[in-house]
Amino acid sequence: MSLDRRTFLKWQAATALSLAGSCAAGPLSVWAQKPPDLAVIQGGPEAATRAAVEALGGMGRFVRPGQRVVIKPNMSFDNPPEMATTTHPAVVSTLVALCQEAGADTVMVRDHTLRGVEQCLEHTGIREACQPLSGSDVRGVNVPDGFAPTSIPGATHYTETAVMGEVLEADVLIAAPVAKHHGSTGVSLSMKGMMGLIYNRGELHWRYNLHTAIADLMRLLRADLTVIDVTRALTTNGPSGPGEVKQMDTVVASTDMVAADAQVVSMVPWYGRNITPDKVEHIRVAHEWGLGRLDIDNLHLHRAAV
Amino acid sequence: MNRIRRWSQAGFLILFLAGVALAFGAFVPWSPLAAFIRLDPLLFLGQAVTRLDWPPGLLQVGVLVGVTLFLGRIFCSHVCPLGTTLALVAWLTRAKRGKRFQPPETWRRGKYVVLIALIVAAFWGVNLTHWGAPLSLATRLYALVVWPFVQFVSDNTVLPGLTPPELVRVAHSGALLVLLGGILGLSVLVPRFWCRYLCPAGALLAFLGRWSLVRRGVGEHCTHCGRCAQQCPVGIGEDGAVAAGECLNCGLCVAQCPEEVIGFQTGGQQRAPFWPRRRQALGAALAGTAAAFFAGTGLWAYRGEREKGQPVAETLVRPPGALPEGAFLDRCVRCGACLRACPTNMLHPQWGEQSGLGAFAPLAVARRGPCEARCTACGEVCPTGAIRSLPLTEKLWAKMGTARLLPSKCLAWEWDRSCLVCDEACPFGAIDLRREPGQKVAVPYVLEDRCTGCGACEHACPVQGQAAIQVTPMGALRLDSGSFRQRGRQLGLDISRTHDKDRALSSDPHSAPDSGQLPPGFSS
Ligand code: SF4
Repeated sequence: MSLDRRTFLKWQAATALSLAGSCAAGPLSVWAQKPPDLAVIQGGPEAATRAAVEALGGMGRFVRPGQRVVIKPNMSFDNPPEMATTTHPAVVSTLVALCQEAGADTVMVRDHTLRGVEQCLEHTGIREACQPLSGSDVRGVNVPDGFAPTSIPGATHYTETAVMGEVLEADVLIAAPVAKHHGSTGVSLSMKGMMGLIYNRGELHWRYNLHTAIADLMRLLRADLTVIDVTRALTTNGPSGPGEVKQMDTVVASTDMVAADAQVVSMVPWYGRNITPDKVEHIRVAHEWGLGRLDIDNLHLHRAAV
Repeated sequence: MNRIRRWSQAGFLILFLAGVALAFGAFVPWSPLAAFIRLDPLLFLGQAVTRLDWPPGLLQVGVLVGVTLFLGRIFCSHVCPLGTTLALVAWLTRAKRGKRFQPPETWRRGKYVVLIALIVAAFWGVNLTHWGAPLSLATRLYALVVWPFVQFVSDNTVLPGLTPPELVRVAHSGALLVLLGGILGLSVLVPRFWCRYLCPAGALLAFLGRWSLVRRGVGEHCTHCGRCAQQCPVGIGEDGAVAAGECLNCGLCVAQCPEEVIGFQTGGQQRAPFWPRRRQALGAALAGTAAAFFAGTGLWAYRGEREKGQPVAETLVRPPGALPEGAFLDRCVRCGACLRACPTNMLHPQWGEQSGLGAFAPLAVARRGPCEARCTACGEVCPTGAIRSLPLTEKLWAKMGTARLLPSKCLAWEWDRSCLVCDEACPFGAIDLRREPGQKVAVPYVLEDRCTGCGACEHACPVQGQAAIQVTPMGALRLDSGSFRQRGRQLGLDISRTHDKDRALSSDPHSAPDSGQLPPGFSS
């Protein structure tokens, strides 16, 4: 499959973005006041998710009536939400509801799960949470058929990969990871989470440099909206746990995946320590390549509690 | 009578196929497959003789013996799924014209010869009855050959939704094909060749059936026209009578008789049975002894530790809850039900990996699929308890082996790559990541006491070819009774999936908060 419309637009948008700084990647904002770059909202999973999206201008800014949306949570492990290895079910179901309220035609919740699909859908609680929302569609895709070979524009080494077909065909991509530590990439947040939309993850470990490959993947799979579940964070022994879970009651949202990830890195005590985002190699590389910004101190941050 | 038989055959075949189909996922508790397999009198006898005890299935086999003493070999003609399959094959390939090859009647002794050989082998402590037990063969046929084949075809054509996410592959399907193809192929040559001349379970039932109360009888007005003999699947003699134990009570002859003098009643006449001659019986006993001996030889097997003199395959990883190897091999009837039930396709029939002893027994191949931490299917479908049916809490402790890391192949140890997929995949926190002097990235270690041998790491390891982390049989817990959890705790194991802060922290002593180094994954 060659570049489809959406990927092409995103590629253009990415170029524009790196030129024009933090200009919104979506349609021209109708808001009188420019929305913040980052929203950090304290509160319960549902309320904080709603408020975070609201702070960025509301879901209507990202999802137009009739559009097809893919939400990419982390539901790769068959662990209960308390273990903080997967996205809180209420964060995912709230995002689904928001997309539906914005008039989305289809809302697909997708992940290429690491453990068995059925087990993951059941034990993460995500399928159950989305069940009451008619029209929601929660699935794990682990078979090669579900993926289409795609080139990664602008990448130097990691130039092609097979991406979940439904994602290529979607109009909007929303990243909805959970905040957790990762033994080989420091953290697993929105950028690392995009590995859940490709088929061959193994080669990222042996053929390519994992960190630059994650940054390269972002050229192709750049979320229009990133909402990170920091209601609790797995601060040690990620990504599969069991590890230390810290209750944080926060949701972080941004249109910039790198900024959202950087924000979460800086606010969670990993192994009980403060670690700056530049210590996460894929975040550092993405920033250097102009794919997003890790200098969160220079960004416009909206903080609130609900 | 014919109609009843056909309905009965169809009904039991469908029930059996439903059993095979349902032996998967959430349907396992409803699958009648295990109960079906326990019907097989030969499998029962084989286990009983090898282990000198009452194996599971006493009720089923008891009923079958009772029915046979009353109605004769009605099981073969009305129930047996293999018999029905063979009859179907014969019917589908029936010759349009000309006569089929007709072997001499004396070949009927063959099945007794096979029976004697298998029982003698069992007497020497080597249970080989699965080579000839019809229910074992039928399950193997449908679960390991037909089903994966149907799945393969449907997956690529009409019904992609019908099949599980990944195609089921079966190791050594060539061996299965030769064995099962041979049995089916012979049925093309001579209808129910297997049932007439070879089936040892049929021989067992024939032995009982000769005393059956209800037998085929022919009335006085028989004109000896011979029409009944033309249709008879087991061969009616010149005199219109059938040899003792051979009649399947199928009733095909009844409809053929123009005089309507054939009936099934108490005490019908029969000819002498086809007993093997003394020399044949002795030869069979010798063959059984030889089979028992040669089954236990092989270059690829080394001496087992637990059962003295017992050959053990080098990579012998059994399903969780499998009995100690010796007992396991006696009990396992090689039906393949567990292979069918395994949701990750981890279980495969073995072939020569453990001399001939283990042929067709389930081997856990982690590279193909991991043992799902939440699944207990194999133990649930096992008809004999060769794999114990365990509740989840017990199954987790039924350690299948221990993962061993091969640093020279590992991406983290040898290639300085950020990998640690094994850690990500391990559901038990049994992989520890440590910063080591001279290593650029954190490297994996196996915490042996936490490892249950599920093979999630081996399955996920991105190293090409054989993984850099492999499950070995070392430390496997094989208990024939009692609690795995209790025993595991005694042995100092710590197998758990629960989230627990102390456990989590202690799992990474080398990157404790104050060690000065960055936690694994971060880089300066
Ligand atoms: S998954 Fe394989 S290559 Fe990667 S760290 Fe583990 S053993 Fe090494």
